[in-house]
Amino acid sequence: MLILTRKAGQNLVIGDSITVKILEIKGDAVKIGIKAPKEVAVNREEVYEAIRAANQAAAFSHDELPRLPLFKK
Amino acid sequence: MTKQAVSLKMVPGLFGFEEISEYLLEPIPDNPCFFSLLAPNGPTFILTKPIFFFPDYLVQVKRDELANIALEEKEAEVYLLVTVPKKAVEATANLLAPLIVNTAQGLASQLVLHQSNYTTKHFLFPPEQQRSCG
Repeated sequence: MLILTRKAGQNLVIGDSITVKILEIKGDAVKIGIKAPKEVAVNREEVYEAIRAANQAAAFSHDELPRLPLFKK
Repeated sequence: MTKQAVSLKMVPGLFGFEEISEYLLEPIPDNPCFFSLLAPNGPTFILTKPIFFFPDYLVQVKRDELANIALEEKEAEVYLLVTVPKKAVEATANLLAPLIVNTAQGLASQLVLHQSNYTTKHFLFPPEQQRSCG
């Protein structure tokens, strides 16, 4: 893993299309701005993991689809 | 609302299924609350629409978050991914990351509602009040 030291107001450039801005450092929290192409998804890791796990729990194979409750008015 | 099968290209792929982009969205026969999202040679997902179970559900997104599916707000259809456990009445919907669909152009994207308090698991049929639909 590449490790760099940056100060508030300084940036990083990843490839030619992603910019990471260190906006503010306050105590143990860092505020970061990310500029990336729209096809690059940027997410907090824990959020990404939660959604990935939810999607995997929601996936069925074609031949084992669940029977869904049928609710009528 | 889609009445027949629609081919969708997922851009980018669903979280955890990034390698799959082609899906078929179709209503589930005789059950108007649910839809299937089928990847040929891949998984199938069960979807619902917020109006059936979460009428107050609000999706707030920035215009540029919809750019990759070439969408203006008026064309947006919102679907929710449903997890169905062994006891189907305990099914949950993912309100944190809805599927936004551009039916006209056959494009879809899973958005993350970063600013919301929604989670990936909301009961469709709360034990205390089993909603009806259909």
